[in-house]
Amino acid sequence: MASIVLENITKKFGKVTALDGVNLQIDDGEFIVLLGPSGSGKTTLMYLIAGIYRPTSGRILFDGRDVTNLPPKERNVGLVFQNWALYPHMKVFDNIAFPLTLKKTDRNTIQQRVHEVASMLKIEALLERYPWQLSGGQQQRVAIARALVKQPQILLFDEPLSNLDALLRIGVRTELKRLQKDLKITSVYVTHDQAEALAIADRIAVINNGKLIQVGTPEEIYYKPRHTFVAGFVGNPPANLLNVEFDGTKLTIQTKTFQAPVELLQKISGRRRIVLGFRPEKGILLDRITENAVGIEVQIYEVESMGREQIVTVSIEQTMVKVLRPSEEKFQVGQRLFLCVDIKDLMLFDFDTNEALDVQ
Amino acid sequence: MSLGDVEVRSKSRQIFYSIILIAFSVPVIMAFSMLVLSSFANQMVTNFDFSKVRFTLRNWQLLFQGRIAITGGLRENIFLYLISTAIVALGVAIVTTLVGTLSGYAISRIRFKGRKFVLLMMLMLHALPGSILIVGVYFLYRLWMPTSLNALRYFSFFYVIVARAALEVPLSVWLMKGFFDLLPWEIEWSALVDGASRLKTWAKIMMPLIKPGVVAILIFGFLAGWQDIIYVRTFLIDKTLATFIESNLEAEMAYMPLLAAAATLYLLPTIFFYISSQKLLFKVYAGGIRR
Repeated sequence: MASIVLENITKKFGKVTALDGVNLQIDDGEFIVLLGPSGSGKTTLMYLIAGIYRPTSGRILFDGRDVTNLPPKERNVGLVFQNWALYPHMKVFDNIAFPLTLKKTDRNTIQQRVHEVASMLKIEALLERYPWQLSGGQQQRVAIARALVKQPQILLFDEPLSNLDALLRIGVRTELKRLQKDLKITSVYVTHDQAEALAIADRIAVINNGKLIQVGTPEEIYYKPRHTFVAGFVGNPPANLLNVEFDGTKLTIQTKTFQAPVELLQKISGRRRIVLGFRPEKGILLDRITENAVGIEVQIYEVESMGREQIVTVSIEQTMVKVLRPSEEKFQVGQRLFLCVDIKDLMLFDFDTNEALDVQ
Repeated sequence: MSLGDVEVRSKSRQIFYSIILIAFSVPVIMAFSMLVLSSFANQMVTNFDFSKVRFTLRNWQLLFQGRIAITGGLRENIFLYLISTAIVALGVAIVTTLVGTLSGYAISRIRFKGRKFVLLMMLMLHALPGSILIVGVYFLYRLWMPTSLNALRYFSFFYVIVARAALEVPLSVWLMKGFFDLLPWEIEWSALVDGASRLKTWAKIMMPLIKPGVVAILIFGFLAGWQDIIYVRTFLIDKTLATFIESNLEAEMAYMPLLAAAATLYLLPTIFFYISSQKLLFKVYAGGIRR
């Protein structure tokens, strides 16, 4: 159990900068998810915490203690790898017991501790098997047991669910979250799956191109993205982002001009271009423009049913916008309607920096 | 011709390939079987005329009594030669394997300056035959050789093992590097995070996973030491089976069937290890790394 502080972490591999000046504080007992596309540096950041990599510059503190230059074995972290990295030549029991045998723990304690974690993860029946005799889900439990058996102060997960099939993933996700809450071990979880991140995290740290873009609770990340990247990465489908020109009185998307409430115009006064964003489920398709909303005429391009709801893709000239509507509403391809978004549901971003506008 | 599964060769082709392979092996098999037959005969078997050939165990008896082929009367300690041959072979095998696995691991897994250079030099060294290097190796021997004859005897064992192993090291390092390259980094990282040192990781995690490769270079090293004659003859005070047979061949009048028995004895480990390592090398990919 420990808090983690990452101070100004930069990591370079030769000429490639994998991480660039990352600052992050993780509280004791917190479940934090590092979210980003592949190649964003999220796994590198986790390996830095584990001690597998050393930062090019910056400091790492566990509970205020500088561990930047400590080797992995002196950090007391448990790590669950994406491919689980079980030792193929050892039985499940020996796999789980391996960290303890290295510490020269006596036989009885090893027996007891291994059986403890094995029963917690419901793999007691598998202890005498070899890893290749197990299913993916079972192998993963073994990997988690091996990480837990040494009673680490920090648990690290490197996309642990990505090798499991979709149905199993959701079940394991719930169990992982529960397990972490029960054990209260500070956990860092790396994933590229935004839904997984939203479901499991206390806080999410979004990383792109080696830079920390935003850190916040799942609600903050989802509803108050600080950057167009976060808005465009999180959510399924992700938020719509539209480049809008502004001449002081009216807004234009490509050549399509539309009106907006005064309240919105005041917020963006003085700007020539902005990025307008909104969540697909916040868009409404009507034959008129509602009050306190931005409305623009659109044409239905395609309708995809998802069972409970449907994704309606509409076009504003060449720009495609996705709107999530309940399946009860009926739309025809080619139909012309007004797309309305309440101004409280709009996200405003600076056109040049892509950062959120600080206007309320 | 009907098309079968991709991995199933058609029967006619299989037979065709087998015939070619057998045709190429016939001379070698003939030579070996003549040698083995001669070791059980009163004269060398050199053709298919068996009318004058009588089969007997006498050659083997004489061999183990330590009679040498030239005079037939003088006795030499054949068991001592067997033991020195085994010492040299085992020594070369162990040194080659230790150096090969450790440096193979380092070159595969640790980034250090001159890594590429070391690899290239190894390849160069491998390209040179041992007999070319022997002058330089001999000078080093003279430089370090102890003066007391008793000490020299032990030193010569040590020296011949290290010198002969040095010739095997490049190939084994390359081979081991290849094996270590195949192992996923995550398994090693996992061991490091679990609390193992680099050396422990090598010994407890990596080595068991590449066991087939380790056994293979162990066998290659053993056979190299067992078969060597040039280095043994130049440096070793004691005789090995190879130098024993060679010194007997120098004589004008030698009882050849006795030498055939010695040669057959000398061949046994080679044949045994080649057959067993063949199976092993096939297994490397089938059962080496499972995940």
